[in-house]
Amino acid sequence: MSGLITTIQRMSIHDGPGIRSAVFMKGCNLRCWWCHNPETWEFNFQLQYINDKCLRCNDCIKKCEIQALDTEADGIRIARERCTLCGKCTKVCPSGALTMIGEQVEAEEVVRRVEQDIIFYEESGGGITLSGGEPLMQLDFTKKILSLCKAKHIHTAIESNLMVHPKAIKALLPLVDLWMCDIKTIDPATHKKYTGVSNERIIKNFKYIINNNATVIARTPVIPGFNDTEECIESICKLIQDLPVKCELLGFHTLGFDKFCQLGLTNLCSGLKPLTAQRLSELKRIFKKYNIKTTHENI
Amino acid sequence: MKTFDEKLASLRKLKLAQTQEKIALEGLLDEDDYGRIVPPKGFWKIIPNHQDGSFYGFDAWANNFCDLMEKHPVYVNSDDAFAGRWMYFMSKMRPNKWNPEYPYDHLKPDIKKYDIICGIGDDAHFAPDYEMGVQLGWGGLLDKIEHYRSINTSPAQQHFYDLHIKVIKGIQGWIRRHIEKANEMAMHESNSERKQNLLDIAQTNQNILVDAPKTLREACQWIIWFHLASRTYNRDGAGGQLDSLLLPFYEHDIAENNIDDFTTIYYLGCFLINDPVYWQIGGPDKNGKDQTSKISFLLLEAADKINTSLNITVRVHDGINPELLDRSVYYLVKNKNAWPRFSGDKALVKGFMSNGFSVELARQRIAVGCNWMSLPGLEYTMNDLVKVNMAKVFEVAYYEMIAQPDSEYSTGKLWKLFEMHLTKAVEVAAAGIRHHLKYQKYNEPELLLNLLSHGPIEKGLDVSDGGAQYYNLAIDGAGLAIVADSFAALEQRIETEHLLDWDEMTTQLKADFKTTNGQKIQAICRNSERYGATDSLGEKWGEQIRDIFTDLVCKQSNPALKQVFIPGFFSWANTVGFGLSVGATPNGRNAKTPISHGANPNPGFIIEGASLSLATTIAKMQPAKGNTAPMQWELDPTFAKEENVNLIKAIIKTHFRMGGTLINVNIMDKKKILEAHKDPSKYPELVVRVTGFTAYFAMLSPQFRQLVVDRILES
Ligand code: SF4
Ligand code: SF4
Repeated sequence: MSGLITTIQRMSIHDGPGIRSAVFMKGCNLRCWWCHNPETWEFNFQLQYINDKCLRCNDCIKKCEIQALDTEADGIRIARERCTLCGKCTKVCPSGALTMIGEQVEAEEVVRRVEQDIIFYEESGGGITLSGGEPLMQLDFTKKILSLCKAKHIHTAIESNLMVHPKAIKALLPLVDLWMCDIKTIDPATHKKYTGVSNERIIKNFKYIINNNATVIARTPVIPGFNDTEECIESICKLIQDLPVKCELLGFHTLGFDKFCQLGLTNLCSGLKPLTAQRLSELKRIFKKYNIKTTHENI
Repeated sequence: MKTFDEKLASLRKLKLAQTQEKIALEGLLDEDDYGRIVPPKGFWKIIPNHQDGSFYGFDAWANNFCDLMEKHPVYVNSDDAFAGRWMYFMSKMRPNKWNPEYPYDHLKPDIKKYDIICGIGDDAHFAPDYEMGVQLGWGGLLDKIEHYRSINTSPAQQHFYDLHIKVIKGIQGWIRRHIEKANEMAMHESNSERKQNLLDIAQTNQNILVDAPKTLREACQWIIWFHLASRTYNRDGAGGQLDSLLLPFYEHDIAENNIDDFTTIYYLGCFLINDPVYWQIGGPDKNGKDQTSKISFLLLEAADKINTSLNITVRVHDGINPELLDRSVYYLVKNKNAWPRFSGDKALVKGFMSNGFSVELARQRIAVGCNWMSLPGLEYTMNDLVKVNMAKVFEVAYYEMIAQPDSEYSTGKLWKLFEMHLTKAVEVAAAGIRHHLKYQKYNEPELLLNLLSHGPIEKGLDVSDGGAQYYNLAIDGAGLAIVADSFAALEQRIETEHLLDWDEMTTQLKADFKTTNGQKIQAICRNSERYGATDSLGEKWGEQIRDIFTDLVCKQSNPALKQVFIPGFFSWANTVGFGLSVGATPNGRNAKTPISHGANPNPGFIIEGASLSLATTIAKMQPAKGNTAPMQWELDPTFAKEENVNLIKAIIKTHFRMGGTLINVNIMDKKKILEAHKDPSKYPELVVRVTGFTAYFAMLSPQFRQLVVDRILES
């Protein structure tokens, strides 16, 4: 069973407890404006061009048989509509400026790589986190990885937007030790505007996994102009105040901005400033007011 | 009235001023900070006994040392609990460090060819047994010498004893002058508290002038005198198991109600600020029982109060007191000042035992040097003194192959040549050590370290000359990552992908990549599968180099002479010097730029999860014979926070579980280090762990600062 991933990040410390390996699955059914992993959106390979690394040697242009590459004033221009993603240009690029994002990989191979750090997981209480993209969009692949990990006693966590059929969730419940689910906002219309989908199903699924006694962390990315108001955070608190979940507020940052340009994508948050630490702690106080437990607070 | 904390703060301030003065007067120094301060100008000069202006042999060393002891300025500070500071670097004041009557011209061509640091004429770098020192005191040591003097009666042995007696008397004279000075200062002191402290300093020293120390203050002062004398003699900076060493005195004082923990911390702070000697705390005793005690924690607290350049190593083993490890990592993260560091008991013990030693002995081989372990008082080692520049050996092999017809070019052929030249290089390094052992007594006998070793006094022989119980001799390989990455780049880019050919590579190397397409070729070389990344070609070659180097060094052992040769991967501060002698290399490194550190990958070897890759790779690359291949860890300050102490601890413990031996840590803000590089004087307190040793950043030369900066920026 194989699937498409972008990368496996070793020593991930923001995706669950302990030292973890985060497997980033490629393909997502949402398009959140603030996404800092846009390279995981497409269910296909993507060509990435990092201008700073480019040596202007033009070897890539010579290699492209369908002339999808050309020089421009400052580096290389990619005619993405023509590019067949054959990857030939990336093979000759000496500097790593042109790379193909995406790796079709067997579940066993993912686990083989993740397993190398098992000793770090043991010592730190860590494990594997399937992230993305949306891992549940590659359900069979995800299931296979998780069951292989379970067999090796590796702690499993999943980061999901929950915009999936409940059957998919049901299938994974016995295999996932920790669910990390985004509750971005309670208001369906705002949710639809900024992510492309409404949130009724998400909230329903969220309650479903909790009712099935799963361990859950609700995560709210706090985005200026979208959900960074007291009212918005309070409404989330009201949803979860009586539920047995922990919460995390994640402040918006701009670290993924460069990637939009490198992948030829439009960044709808362009110009938006990172959320200040002060604002984040003000909002965190609301959680305290509602007596909601938060996990260690990282951005 | 000054509190203890205020006194320690003023000592810390004074130390910074003394360091600044040292930089201003003596220039930059790519070395340990030590605790040395600048002596008055022109106060003392060496007494040569050779026409080359240097001095050699037993008599000359004893004469020089005793002359210096007689004239040495005294140092008493009323805020300090102890007297004495290190000022002179006697061994460095010689114009020449090897007696020309014992030439090694037959080795010199190969030493040059392979860029070997041969260690001939180098000194110390093994550990004294301070426990013996505090048990016997100066009087007890004199009695011991007299005892063996009556047994070993040959003229050479009698003379040997005479000189050691002379040395001790010299030190006692030096201490006596401090007693006089403290009493004199007390007489003129109007502040009653300061007056009392000066009188206490005088009394403490009076008590240990002949007798062994009884109180914690006396024990600390005794240890200080020995290391000051030994530092002055030849820079020796090895310590011992500090917590166990001081515990009986602390317990004695507590039982007698002489002391409380505030006073203890003050004493320990004054003790630690005197000199950044290499001390170990925690770890198992010879029976495997954890040695952590109350005083281990008090030492960390004292270190936190002075927070200067410190060389304290915490020995991590299965039975470690978990709280000690917690506190150690907490202080590392809190102060971000490169202390403490950590050594891994499991692999060190197992490795040392593989040479045929018992587990009890292996546990006593503790972290007391820059990168090294030693059995206090039991062995002569030449630790950290002998190094083979493997990058140079690779270069010799490469150009030898290229001189042959091109049908011969392959990484297989190159490996054979590398192996052949590395064999030769290791043989030459070992021959250098043997030459040193044969003649060092005529060059620079260890008149100080002999005193706290088990054997030299008993046998009447210098420690370098059969006096020691064990000869566990170190040879380090340097530049592992450069060689591994070079082989990997050649295999991948020429043999597998055919992106380059051998002629192109040679042209680029000779031109240092400064051709029209040089930048491109260099990028191709640099982006090949690098050592440090999992499952990479670089790693495959690294393992091959580790195995051959380990094997070659071990083969030099000679059981009949009780000589065990132990391999390690450590390059100390020699990365810059070694780099200067090596042209461009196939891994894309420019000519004359520094080579890689120990077994560390080249900077920028991986983008994600560098700490885990580093911990995994270096654990794997250990020669595993009891010496180290340290993990030089540049820890990102955004990660090195209090809330991540458990994760940092997990990485430390895991590295050791996987076979790691020593971890040196820097936690440096990238912006700060860049600013400090631009104007070091703005950051006089900034301490970095350069390799095994810590130094004030402002004390390093620009070239060396650049090296530290690059490492931190690319981590
Ligand atoms: S991936 Fe293939 S088609 Fe696309 S730009 Fe590169 S060479 Fe051309
Ligand atoms: S091959 Fe790579 S380095 Fe050369 S021009 Fe293309 S993108 Fe730039």
